[in-house]
Amino acid sequence: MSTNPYHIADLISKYLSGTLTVQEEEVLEQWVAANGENRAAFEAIQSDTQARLDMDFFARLDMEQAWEKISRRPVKEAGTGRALRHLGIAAAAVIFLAAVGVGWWWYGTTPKTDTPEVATANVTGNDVMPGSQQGILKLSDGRTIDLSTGANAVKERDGTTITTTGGELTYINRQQPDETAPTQLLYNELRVPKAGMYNLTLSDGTSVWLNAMSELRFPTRFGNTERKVFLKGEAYFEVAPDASRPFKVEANGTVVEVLGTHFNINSYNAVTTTVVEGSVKVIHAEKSELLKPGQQARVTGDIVVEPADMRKAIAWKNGDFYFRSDGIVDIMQQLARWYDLSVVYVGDVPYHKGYNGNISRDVNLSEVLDILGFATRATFKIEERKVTVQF
Amino acid sequence: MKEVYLFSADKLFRKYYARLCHFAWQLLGDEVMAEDVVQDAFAAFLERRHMVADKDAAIKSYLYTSIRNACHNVGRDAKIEERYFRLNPQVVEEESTVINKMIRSEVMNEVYMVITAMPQGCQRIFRLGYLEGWSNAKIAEKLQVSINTVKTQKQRGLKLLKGRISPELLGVFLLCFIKFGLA
Repeated sequence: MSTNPYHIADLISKYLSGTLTVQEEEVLEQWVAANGENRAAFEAIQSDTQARLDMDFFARLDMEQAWEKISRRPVKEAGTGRALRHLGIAAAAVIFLAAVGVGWWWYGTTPKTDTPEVATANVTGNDVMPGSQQGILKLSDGRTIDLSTGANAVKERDGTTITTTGGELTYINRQQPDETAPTQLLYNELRVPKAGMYNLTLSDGTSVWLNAMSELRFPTRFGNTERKVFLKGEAYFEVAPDASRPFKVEANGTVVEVLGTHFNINSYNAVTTTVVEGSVKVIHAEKSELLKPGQQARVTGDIVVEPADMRKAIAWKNGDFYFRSDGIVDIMQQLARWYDLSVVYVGDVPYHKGYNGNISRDVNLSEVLDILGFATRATFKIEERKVTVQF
Repeated sequence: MKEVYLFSADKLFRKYYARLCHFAWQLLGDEVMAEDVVQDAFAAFLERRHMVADKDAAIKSYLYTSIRNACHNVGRDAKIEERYFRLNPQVVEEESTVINKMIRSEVMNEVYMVITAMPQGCQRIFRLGYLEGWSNAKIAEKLQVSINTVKTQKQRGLKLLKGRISPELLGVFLLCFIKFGLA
């Protein structure tokens, strides 16, 4: 018996028009008889008062106006990496995927292999190595430095020394205690591409971990009233205490203000701030909320404070993927950022299903996909950096 | 790289917008929020379209699912049932209820399409004749057409509806003309 809702809807439409075949009638009858809820739904469709409200609703919709609104929005070209980053608010859709179906749990400790071709039960094609420490630094005069090419030391115009060593960027300035703060701040920009992450120590001693496809804009040295930086994407902050200069992070219109604390900000979709230590203030559109450790705030027009899954929020910084009730699209999106992939789906994709599990971010793509295939029953084909997910 | 798709964005929008709004409206009980959610979801779909199989069924089910999830989040954001969720963080809306709402949106969309496919004149005459019980002559006078036109339109309307809505249900859905039959 078919329980495909579209098929049932089709049968009910045919029933209303009196064009059901005998076999179809049987299928529909079985569906109606299956439980009280189905029967009630079936009867409600034929209730005139209900139907009238429905028809009124349809009649009130202004499709032209709605389409105009949507087509005015900037749409990123499909297939480019940037499209992933600016998913827009409704991509929050996938953040909460109900119905945890199959669970999977695995912790990768297997050493890396360099086999270019893989063929397991679930995965075929070439393998892809995990992401690595990489980033591009843009100095205040516009010069750029590729941080994946070994150690380096540069001097900024204000005398700040910038050193890079194996995945770490450090800002040092020997500011004298009596020296007046700079009147004009010099900004640098750290950009981490797909398949990258990078660790940065700001001039005040604050540590920042930047995730793949993220950008941080910050002054080489801070002024004396505040310490403000600008974030796109995701970063984890360990802010050095300084009661006289609050530390502020601005991400997509939301400002997070702290004195000294540890917290994560994810702004790939709705800006989500998770507090690990201390407390932070989240400010958005003249509203603000104070967060305590173990809480997170999601900004979707309003600021929503809720209990956080701490392990999930900072798993990336500790080198793990950590999924809880995440849908396949959300999971693939995370993998795409770290392995630099484009993803194509084929077949009947179970968008509503959620999966659990954790995996080290150090392993090759094939290992992650093999386990994921086991849990989701999907198979994966890798061609260069394109992954086809087949259900 | 630019992908080529079977359906244009604007065609997909016109095809699915109304039913998706209806679905969101059932879940949220608020028209404005429902339209917002659908517009956001559709815009997001366009941005990640390359990740969705270029098939009607896949797109439809993707849109329904993302709207279901977005409505769920709106519900949480608006602190609707806040207490409920705090007490039962694992509880989500019964899957079957949501599916039945989706079925209703699909069916009602189909019915609405049938009704609006009738020409305006036809709809007006149907409404006056079958619901308000006006005589053909009175309708003709009111709409400034000949009695013959009224008769033909009635015939035409019945013909158009035949095979799309059964006679027993015609009455039910004719009621729906009340609001939009006469502009």
